[in-house]
Amino acid sequence: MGGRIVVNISTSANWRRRPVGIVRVEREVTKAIFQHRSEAVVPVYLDVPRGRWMTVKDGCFGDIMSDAWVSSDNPDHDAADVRKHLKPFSPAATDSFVTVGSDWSFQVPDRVEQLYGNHRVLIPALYDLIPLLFPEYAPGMEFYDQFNHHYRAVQRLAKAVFSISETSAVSLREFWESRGLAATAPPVKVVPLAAPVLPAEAPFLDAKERAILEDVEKDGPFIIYVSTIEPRKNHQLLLDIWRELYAERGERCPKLVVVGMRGWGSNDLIRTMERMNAGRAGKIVWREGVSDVLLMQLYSRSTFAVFPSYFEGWGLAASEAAAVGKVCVISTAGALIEATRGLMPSYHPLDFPGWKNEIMRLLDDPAYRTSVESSLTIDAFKRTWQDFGNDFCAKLLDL
Amino acid sequence: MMMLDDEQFIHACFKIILGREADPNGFAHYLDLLKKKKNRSQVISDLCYSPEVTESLLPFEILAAVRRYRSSRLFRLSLKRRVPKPQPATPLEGQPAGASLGPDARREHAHAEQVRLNEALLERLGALQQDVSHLQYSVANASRAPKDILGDGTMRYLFNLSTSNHWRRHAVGIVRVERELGKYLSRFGNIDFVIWDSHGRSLKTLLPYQVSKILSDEWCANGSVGQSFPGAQLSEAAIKAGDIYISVGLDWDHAPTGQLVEYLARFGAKAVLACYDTVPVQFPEFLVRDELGQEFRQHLVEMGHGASEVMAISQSTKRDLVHFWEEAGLERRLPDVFTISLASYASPSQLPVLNAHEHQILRDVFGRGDYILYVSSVESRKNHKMVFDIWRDLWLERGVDCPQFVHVGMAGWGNTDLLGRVPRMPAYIGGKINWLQHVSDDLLAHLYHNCAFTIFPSLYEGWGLAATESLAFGKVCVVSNNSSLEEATQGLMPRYHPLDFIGWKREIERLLDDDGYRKSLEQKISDEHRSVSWADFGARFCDQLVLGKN
Repeated sequence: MGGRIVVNISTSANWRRRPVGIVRVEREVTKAIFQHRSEAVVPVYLDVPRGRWMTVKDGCFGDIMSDAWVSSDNPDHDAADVRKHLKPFSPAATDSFVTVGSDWSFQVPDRVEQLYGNHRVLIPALYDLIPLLFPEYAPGMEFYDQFNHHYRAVQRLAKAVFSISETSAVSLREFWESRGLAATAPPVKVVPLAAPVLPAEAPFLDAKERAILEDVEKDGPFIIYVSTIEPRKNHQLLLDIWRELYAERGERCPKLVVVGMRGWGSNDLIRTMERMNAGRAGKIVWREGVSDVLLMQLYSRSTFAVFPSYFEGWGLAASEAAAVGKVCVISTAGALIEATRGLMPSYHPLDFPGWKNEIMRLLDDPAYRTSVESSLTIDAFKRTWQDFGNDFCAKLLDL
Repeated sequence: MMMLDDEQFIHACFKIILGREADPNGFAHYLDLLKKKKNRSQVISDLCYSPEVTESLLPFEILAAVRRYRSSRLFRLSLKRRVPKPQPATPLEGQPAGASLGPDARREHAHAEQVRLNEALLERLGALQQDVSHLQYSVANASRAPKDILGDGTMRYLFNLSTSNHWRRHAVGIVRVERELGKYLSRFGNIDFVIWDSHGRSLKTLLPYQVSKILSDEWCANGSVGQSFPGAQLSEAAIKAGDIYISVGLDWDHAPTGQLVEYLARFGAKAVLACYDTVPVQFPEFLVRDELGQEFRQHLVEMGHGASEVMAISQSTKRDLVHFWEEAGLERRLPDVFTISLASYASPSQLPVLNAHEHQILRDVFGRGDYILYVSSVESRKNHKMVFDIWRDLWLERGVDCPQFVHVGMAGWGNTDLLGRVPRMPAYIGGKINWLQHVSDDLLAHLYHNCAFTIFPSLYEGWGLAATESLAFGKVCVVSNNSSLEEATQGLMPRYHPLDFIGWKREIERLLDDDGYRKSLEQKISDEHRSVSWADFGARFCDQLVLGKN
């Protein structure tokens, strides 16, 4: 690929908080491409109100990619600064256009088509097709329409598609097949996401983080679930299990530590979590805004992790647990088995007896738990963002 | 006025009482009521006690309309006897009578007079309604045989009708149990019916016509908007040592147990109370109000301290209640707990006639294909979520051949998120999830009769009437294997842990696809299921009360 590599960094430019999910991927992809071919990179920003692409000036591009950018004290205000550092963008015939943000909501393929016509310049991302497969697990029906439109346009305009898992790739191929679009569809290349590596030295935790850790650990073993709280993540299964565990074990009931932001459609669940007997007794605790460092400590000090989601395009939290040598009981749905290489105990996300028995066995039978832990080849799960970026460039850019 | 035909009568009532033309819905409702019940005094009563009358000042025109219709014999008789002579207008405070008033003061004066007239009219209308009810009761009971006596006649019983007195809507659950038991007990001469007067903190005796009125079907008829009988206007019950007070209603709302047992203790009377479930203490997350858990805990503790006997509606509820008392560490001998299974409301021998609207609903249900029924309010404890999860898979696997899931019941609380996302499910969009609300007993009977089978996957039940009803209609009901549902289905039905998605799905698929299996379970119901009527329930309760057995 000899031409310019135009990289859409709009999501990163607009985000000044801790980078997770899609934001993190966009930042890492951008860094990798820049490292790979810095001279060819043209960072662009979609000026949505005016419907035009703008080039981000070099200084600002550097700022956006810096760690300081995602630790703003005033994230809502600071994001607007980007607009002062834009200049007009002109397309070139040999461009490749990499865009891996929440593009379905901004008609990105259509806006790229306005610049390049029907030339296949686009290199978009595929995280999952959940709004098409399970519309009830998206916040609104408009996401179904957006995804339906977006991945039809991707079929028409992409030169290749970056997918975070084989599971998602299969979903997309089936989608095109069901719409009669498979014959002219672009290739879908799978590049698994990274999993953070536990640092060799004891990490620095500030006083607040140490207090959280002590509070979590003080009553004995705990089990961790790291995920945004929203219906698809199936926290309800865990609350149902903890209802019974607390009724059966009382004070000997282990603690469930839920780490994640409050998502959409979760008010009733959070209310339940706070009011049920197990919640009132401190056997279910919820922590938001946990730093990466604290999160890795929570993983490594937990008894084991759980991930009962209804569907995942990948399942980063499961591979994170594995990377620190912890068992993660996962759901059989979506890409979780793929993300954990088939090494973790897995159950249908609604198989309550299966989940409960597995959780009790891992709690009560240390030998069993150790045997599962020892079967994990931890190194296989250690995948840095550098590894991810290199793979991305090799599979998507060096075609 | 009584010479008018039904339609004219309804129009006249609206004009006299509400001062307006009858709206189409109201007209249709009362016309239907008159066709079914032929009870014109019910129409007058409902309109007199409607919020439109009781919650707003009657405009002058209405008063004028009432006066115009005074020539009606019914009103003339009543008003002649009760209307006080017109009083001179009360002078405004600070002004001598006859002093000249400014325009504002005159308006205020006129308004005050209007209010006084309204109140006088309401009082007169209320008195008139009571006269009519009393008269009806006297006529209806003139030729009735003397009442039976419960036991050997040496005991006197007081039955608490407070919940029914307050309940003017379709009666379900606990309200229905109180009403059915009240009806059964009303045959006995040594049972007095009482209500708890929360202001006077005392039991007040209901007059016979009031008991008859409260226990009538019209009291809870759909659209009934009347008020309850105020305790303050009744006489305090004369309670003697050894009297037995019975209360099976929503005591935590209408007859606080702590106050009641303290009151009864002053007379040396005993209390027989009821426990339907212990949900609020076991599952605080299922409560609509946070403080309800503590209130209910207090209710159960006071019951343990003050009741002589407690009726539990299932062995499961009895177990949970005794367990609660043990955990609470009550320092006294616990009350005896007896269990009586609830009856079924269903009367499947003859399906009722439906109106046009109900027919339309039924046609719509039939148009979507075979269906599986779940009758329950939609709240977290009832576990609709698992059923929606099953239907997600059934739709994926079967497409348009997916059966229909019909769930009947009110929207409860705590399900906003769930109910918000269900309409986005492909199974819902495909017409295979069908939610019916405000379903009448008549329509419900048809829905039971025509369903493939029913399900009841609740996380916890004190009894489970919908499961009993299903069996009364000869329909298989898959139930949860915890709490009371096994008892409610007499151990005859397939049962699973309420969260065993895989077990439930497999059972539902088998019942759908294996006619022989489903028919074998229906045959089992036919051969082995013993229906319990409300008369049976009442008789067992009385046996327990008098003989200590049921």
